Amino acid sequence: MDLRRPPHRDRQSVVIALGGAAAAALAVAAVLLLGHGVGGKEAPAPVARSQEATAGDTPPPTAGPGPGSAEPSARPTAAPQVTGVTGRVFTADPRAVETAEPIPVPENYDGCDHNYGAVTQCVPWTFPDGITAVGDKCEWLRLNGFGNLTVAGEDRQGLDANRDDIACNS
Amino acid sequence: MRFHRPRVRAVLFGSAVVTASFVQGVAPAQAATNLVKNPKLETMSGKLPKCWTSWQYGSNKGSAKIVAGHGGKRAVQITQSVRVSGARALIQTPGCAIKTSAGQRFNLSFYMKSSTSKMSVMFFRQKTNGKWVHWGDLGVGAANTRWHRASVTTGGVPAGTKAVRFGLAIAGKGSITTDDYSLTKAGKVKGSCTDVNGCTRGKWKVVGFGDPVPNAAGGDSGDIGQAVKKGVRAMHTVLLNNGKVLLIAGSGNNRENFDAGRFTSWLYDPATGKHKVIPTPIDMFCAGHVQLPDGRVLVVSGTKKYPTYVDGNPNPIDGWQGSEKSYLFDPRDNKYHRVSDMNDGHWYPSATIMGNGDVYSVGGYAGQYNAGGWQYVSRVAERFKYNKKSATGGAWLKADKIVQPGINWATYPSLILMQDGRLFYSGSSVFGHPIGQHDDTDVSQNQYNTGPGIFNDHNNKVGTNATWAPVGGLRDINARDQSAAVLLPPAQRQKVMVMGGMDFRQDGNTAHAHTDIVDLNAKKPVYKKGPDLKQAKTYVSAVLLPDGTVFETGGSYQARREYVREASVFNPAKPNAWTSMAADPVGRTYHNTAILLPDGRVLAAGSNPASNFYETRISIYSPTYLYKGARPKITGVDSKYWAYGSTHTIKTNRTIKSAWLMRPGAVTHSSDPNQRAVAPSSLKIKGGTVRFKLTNNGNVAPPGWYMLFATDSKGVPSVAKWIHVG
Repeated sequence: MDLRRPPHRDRQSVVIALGGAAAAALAVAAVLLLGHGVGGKEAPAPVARSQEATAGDTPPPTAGPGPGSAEPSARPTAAPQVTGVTGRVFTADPRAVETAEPIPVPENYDGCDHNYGAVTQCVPWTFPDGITAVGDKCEWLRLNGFGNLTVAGEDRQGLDANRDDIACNS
Repeated sequence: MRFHRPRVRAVLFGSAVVTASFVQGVAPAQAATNLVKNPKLETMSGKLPKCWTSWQYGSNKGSAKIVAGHGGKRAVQITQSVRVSGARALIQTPGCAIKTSAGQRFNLSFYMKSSTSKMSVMFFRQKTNGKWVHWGDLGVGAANTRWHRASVTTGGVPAGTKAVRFGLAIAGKGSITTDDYSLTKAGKVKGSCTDVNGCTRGKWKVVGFGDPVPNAAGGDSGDIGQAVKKGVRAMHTVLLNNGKVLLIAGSGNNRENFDAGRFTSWLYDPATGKHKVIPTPIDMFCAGHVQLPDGRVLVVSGTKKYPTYVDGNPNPIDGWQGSEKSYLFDPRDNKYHRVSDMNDGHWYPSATIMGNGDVYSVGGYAGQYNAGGWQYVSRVAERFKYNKKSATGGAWLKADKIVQPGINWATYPSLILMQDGRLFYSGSSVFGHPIGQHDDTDVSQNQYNTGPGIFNDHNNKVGTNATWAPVGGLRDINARDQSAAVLLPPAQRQKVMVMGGMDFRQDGNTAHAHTDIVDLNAKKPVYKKGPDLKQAKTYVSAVLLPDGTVFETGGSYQARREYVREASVFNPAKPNAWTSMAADPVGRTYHNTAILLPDGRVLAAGSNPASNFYETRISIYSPTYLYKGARPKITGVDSKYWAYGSTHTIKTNRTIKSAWLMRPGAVTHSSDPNQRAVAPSSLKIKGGTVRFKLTNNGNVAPPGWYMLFATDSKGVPSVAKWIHVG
């Protein structure tokens, strides 16, 4: 199976919203949500299985592990319950990736406005600390080591008054 | 209000990156003379209280005014409405400075409230020639708009100092209000101490390689985009089982390097300071990595493609692609060796070692764009099947041999192996928390995972459903990007702490100081509030130390800017507070890392501020325990190969108190889900003979090489011996 094959997606739509359905996983998830989440009733906890043989290691003493308290007590370990505190337990189809939509990465995923500079530079998506005036933005960029800053895409921040595709040079 | 600017301003910040020499705040234990004049701010002199003045540096706008006091009539509020750089504060006037002599430590406390976490206490000292210089800064925690008490303790006053003064400085937009100051002389340090600053805060050493250093604001206009440096653009740091450190740069977040096929790694020996350049076959920038049971390092994915610009499209870039390729770094020949490919690319993948030596890897950007030409997160789960008889250590399983639940794990999801074999997603990731949504309402895209939870694929039992159980209680659930998550010592206790972070997609984003702790041994695990960090930060580096504590360092307030020069220690046995330590003199933001070394020191590397300057200096921290007298020594171990459940004899040169097996670090982007400190299941000590019983559970101590430390009653650890577990 080709798990990487992405379905058709409009370029613009991927930036702002997510459409379509993840059929197999959705069906399972939705049923569980309606059955357990909305109704406020906790789903029965699936049996917690360990991946390896687990004898339940002895937990350390409550006094903590620091110097003077290295030796754990012999208190048996209770296996954690699978039920989440929100009362929802989701079961994922083991093949759900085959039908899942690719989830696009938002433009500002890293807090940077990549309309400016090299792709590895990071002009703030939102300038910090009350900085709204263009002059303050340009001063901030200068202080933070930006030299000639190209406008690679849209001039979102209004830094290119003379429209020569170089920010903060007018 | 017109600000009074003291004449000392220019010289105070002539040395803007002076190392702070302070330790955690502890309130004065007994009544002592308050050395602050007009401490309650009630006596006025003009528009401000006598002995106090408003002070600022850098480019910012603001004001100072008298407001209602904490206990009396008056307090002073400093407001900053616009801040491009610098800070402003209410500080003592030079005429009311505190006379002192070298070596004196001080306890300072005061009442405060603030609307921003971007603040710290700034100390200044007057040299014997009369000039005032910046001494250092101390954090006072997170924003809190209610009156509360803050306290800090300084380190010893440096030689050549005749007076000190201080003030709480605001370095962000907002306001701070202070009142009721007390500054007293701190007593002598209790217990063994060979160096007063070393034994109370530790010390840093910085190793440079001749590259430019950033300017005070964090960038360096002379170095932007410089592809080839004398040092290494270290963003992946892995400790090998011979004590050397693999520093992987790949292209080092530099497109010129990528286009030229110029990929780099260094093998750095912290014992000698020497390094060797390692030929690097692909761009391992933004790979995952983990030590396999045999000590080789599995490098997972990397950068397949940098984004491209598309003419005429308002969106200038298409995005990044992850590589499907994978390599082993072998410490025996210091070379990378190709292993089988993964099923998809994973740019920013997790890499969690399982109890049988397999590696589970998810998340990261796929090896191709979607049909719209845009980057997207791969939902393909990968599993490296470890085979100790294989020359390549095993192979990646084909996709249909792996449970594929289709979860969007985002980037570098912190998946920690639990002692029952399930995986706990701590809620800590890098860019965009899993699912990419800020609420938990949209399940139409299988986007149910908005935060921490426990994942169970039943040991990869293909054909059965995997389960996901959300774990609640984590505060700032959408603001844990580039937080750090660690399994607290000891691993058996199954407590996980998440510290700091930020929501990179939130407008005006800033980091926070919150920590939360979950007990995975509880019947219903729920995160509970932990103590705030001393300063808000994202890009947090957290390192487990061999005295059972957690050391955090590095980080910044905002995306690749505003260094937070602060470090502190958390003791799980006394879990109510962080203790301030000496700050790394090198500011470290994005792409910083830190790991424990076998000699008990901590190595910190990397920093990649907004201008794309790259910091190549390495900092090495000697914790407080290295200044508390002679270290115990492990003089012998009956075997370096320890089977699960076995008991071994360790010989030490004197009586010790505890012993630890520390898994070596392999960290990038604040993420090292495999870091753990394993306590003995039982420990018997008789003089210099120690009997250490190893856990019988591979999920508690996944197979591989560990550092064995023997630690005495003062918390002083030995140099480690390497032990193979499993």
